[in-house]
Amino acid sequence: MKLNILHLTILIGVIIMAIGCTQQISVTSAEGLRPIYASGDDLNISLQEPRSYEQLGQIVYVEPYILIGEVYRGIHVVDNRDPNFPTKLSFINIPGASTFTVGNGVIYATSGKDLVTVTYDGELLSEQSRIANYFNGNDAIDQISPINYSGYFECVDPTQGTVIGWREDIIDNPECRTD
Amino acid sequence: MKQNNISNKLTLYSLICIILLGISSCSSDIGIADSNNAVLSGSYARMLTIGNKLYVLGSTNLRILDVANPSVPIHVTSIDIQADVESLFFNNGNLFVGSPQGMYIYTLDGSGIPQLASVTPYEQFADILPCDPIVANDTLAFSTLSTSFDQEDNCWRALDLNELHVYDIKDVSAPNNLARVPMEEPKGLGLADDHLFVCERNNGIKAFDISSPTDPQLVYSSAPFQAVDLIPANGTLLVVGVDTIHQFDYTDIDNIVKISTIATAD
Repeated sequence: MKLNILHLTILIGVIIMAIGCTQQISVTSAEGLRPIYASGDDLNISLQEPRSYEQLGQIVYVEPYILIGEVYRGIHVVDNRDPNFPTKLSFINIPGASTFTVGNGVIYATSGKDLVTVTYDGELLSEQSRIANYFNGNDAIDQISPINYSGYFECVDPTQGTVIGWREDIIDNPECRTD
Repeated sequence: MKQNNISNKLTLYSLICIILLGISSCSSDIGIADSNNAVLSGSYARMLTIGNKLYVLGSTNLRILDVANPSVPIHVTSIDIQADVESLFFNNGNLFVGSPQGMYIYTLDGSGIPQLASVTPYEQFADILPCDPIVANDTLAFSTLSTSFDQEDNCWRALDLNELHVYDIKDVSAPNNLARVPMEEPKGLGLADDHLFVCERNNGIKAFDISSPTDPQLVYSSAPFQAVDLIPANGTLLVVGVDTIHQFDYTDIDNIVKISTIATAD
């Protein structure tokens, strides 16, 4: 069978329409949050320069230090020797952190699904121990859905690593939502 | 032989002394590494160390770990709470667990294992999900119920329950509601003797005189600012907002003064 120009034009037209229709029918998108993943060495705990405050969480005071959780990121450390002039001292980078406390001279924190133990003397930071995958399912809820958020988000794919944050984006075919 | 023993012991003792000296000089200046320093937690804590135990809230359970060796936590047990738990507070042998469904009080047994003493449900508000941190002293417990959220499409906003609750807990197995105080989106709270400080999400902080717990008296209202959680610490009140830390001097409760602010750009 020979294709003349007319046939070819109709065929291409039909294909273009089909693609157009497909996109119009099946592609819905919405503003939402997309997970930011990390894996391997990017999950290491480290001591960093002070960083900006974005979404502050829990607070612990171990005089003269104020420790404030930054949701998903780690712990801000403030030197509060003079409460009239507190100074930002450092940031303890704990990827995927959601909660922490201090006791008997050590810091306990969650990092993704892990429970980690860290010592920090104001200068040196050292990871002491880690219980991998201590939190499962809903007990690592921040690894399933964004904290303090309602709306669409891209479902978490645990094979891509640990969720260390979320960014605003247009999500195609969003299947996950929190209320 | 005996002399050898003594000199060995002396060497050992001096070694221990040197090590102890080294440790103490290293940590003398450093609060976080000094295990003797008091650790004060905000009311939204989900993790606490009490004695040789570490307590961690999951979404519906409480995990207990042994931290006799602080650097190496060992899982002991997990208690199912059957509620969406969200905050932990400890006072004098009692562990308070805040949840939208009610106030859970546990007493710690000799091994530090929590035993359920009472559940005080917010039964009249079973359909809604307030956020409710708890603080307590030996006779009173305080919780804030707040249904407002930041998001516009929050479906609970219409019900709008925003209150401070006061409970008599002299008998922890039977808490008794003494008072309810209407508030504007109350969040974290903290106790300092006869005074209770409460955050309001977009409205700053309030201080109440609670010496008459059936009728808390408002003694201070700050100018509005974002306030989520706080810690009273010997006359200095730390208040954390979404991206800012404020400190107030409350040594004179009739003259509370803001003394510093750390903003994100500082």
